[in-house]
Amino acid sequence: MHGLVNHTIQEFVCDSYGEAAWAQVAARIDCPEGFAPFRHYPDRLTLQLIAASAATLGKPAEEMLEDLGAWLARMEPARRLLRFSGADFGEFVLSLEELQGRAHLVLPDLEMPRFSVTVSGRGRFRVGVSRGAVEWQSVLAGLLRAMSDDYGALALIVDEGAAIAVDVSDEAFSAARDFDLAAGPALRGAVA
Amino acid sequence: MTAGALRCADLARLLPMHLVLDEEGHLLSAGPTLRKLIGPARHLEEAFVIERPHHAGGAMEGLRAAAGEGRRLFLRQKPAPQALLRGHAVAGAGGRLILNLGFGIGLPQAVRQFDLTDADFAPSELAMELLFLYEATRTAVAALARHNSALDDARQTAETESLTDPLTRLANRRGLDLALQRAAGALRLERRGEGGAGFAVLHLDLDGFKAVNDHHGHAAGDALLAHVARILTEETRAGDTVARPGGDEFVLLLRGLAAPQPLERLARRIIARIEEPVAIGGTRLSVSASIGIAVATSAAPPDLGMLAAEADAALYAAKRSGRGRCCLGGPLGPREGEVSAPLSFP
Repeated sequence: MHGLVNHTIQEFVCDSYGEAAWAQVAARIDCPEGFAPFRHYPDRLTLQLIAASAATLGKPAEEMLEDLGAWLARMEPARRLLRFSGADFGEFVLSLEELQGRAHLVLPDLEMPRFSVTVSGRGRFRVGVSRGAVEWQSVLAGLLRAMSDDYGALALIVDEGAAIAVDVSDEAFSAARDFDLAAGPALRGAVA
Repeated sequence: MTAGALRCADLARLLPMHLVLDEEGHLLSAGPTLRKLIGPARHLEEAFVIERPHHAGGAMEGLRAAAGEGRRLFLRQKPAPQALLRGHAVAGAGGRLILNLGFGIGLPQAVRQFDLTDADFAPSELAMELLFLYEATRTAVAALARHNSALDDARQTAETESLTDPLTRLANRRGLDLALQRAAGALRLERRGEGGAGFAVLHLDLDGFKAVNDHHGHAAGDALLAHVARILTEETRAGDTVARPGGDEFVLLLRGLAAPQPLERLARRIIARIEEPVAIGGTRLSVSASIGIAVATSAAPPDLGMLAAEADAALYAAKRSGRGRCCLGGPLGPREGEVSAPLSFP
């Protein structure tokens, strides 16, 4: 697995639960020194890391991964990159089919699974993840919840196992968080 | 076949960066995104300078020629910040020209300068994708740079560790070999360019160290070695190398110094300082040192093996002549006459 995935889980644990929690996780895995974002690690280690994090935080792995997805969507660089996908939440959900392509454009070796989106009614979607990527599906469910808030949309998001059901009842329920195309940390100061 | 006349409002929706010009260059229509750049301009030359293609007949002739030949256009916005746009033109009915323009690679800057949003771009444009890539790449590159510098720090630490004696923080045998090879390499370059004073190798061995170890224990011995290391570091310059290749042996590599007298003076000073009794672990310890000196000059090609043998032989000669002496070695071996007289203290 790409080190960025493991590194992100580590960052999530440290940021949300503190270094002491991470120390407990680290003691339970075969890589106690932690993960570098641009190395590759055996998949076994990632699964071990997920199990150790969930056990340390005292919650089921699916719940821990949903929290991770929601946390990730609140991280400004990730949030901004996600917001480039669509002008409103419905468009964002539809664009999840492109997410793998977008990710692989920047990190060709990320090994992100493909997501498929089917429209099941007005404002209703079913988001599926290619087989065997259940962990990604949990992360995606949490990420979708946080992004619906970010867009100011009122949506019910339920991980049904086979797919994630997204039901958008109000696209403009509350004020969307600001998304200025030029406000990216990488863009500012690009021109003298 | 004609697609039917298009109303300007629809054209503006379809192509938010278009211009429709009449024969004389008046703006009949301009897309809403383009209007953010040119304001209320009513004529082409009020809004843009045609950078390419250049035409002696003027801006409109240039555009018409480009439209006829299917060539690309480059237009520079007249008011600041003078953004460069590129696009193409097609000829319409009645001498009209229809232009469609874009920001090209300058898009990230344009978005900032003109406060553009995704609503300013047609869905068919890759503006959002380019912005995504621009931001994602810079984020990834920044993360990669941090990762690289962390790796580099770790590598440098490991490299320093592998060349350092952990007890005294002096160079170890590997560090010394590396420094000697560099000094020899530098001297070979000097030989070509002439000039340069060569370098000296001082091989120092403590006298009476074993007795300290035996009577006062290894901790006292280690403290004494650290004490000697401090003296050697103080007596040498920043560009010199002080090494402890092992045991109670030290080697000094002194760059740009090959004259016998200053070297002998330095050796005596070092021996005198080492001989000063030092308080370690509640007792006053006293040792001495012997030093063998070998020099490499630009007159003869430095052979490191030979140099080490000369310094070794000189050290052996110094030892043989008694405690606390130094001896200058040479290609013909150390001569008794060059062994210094025993030092005397006030």
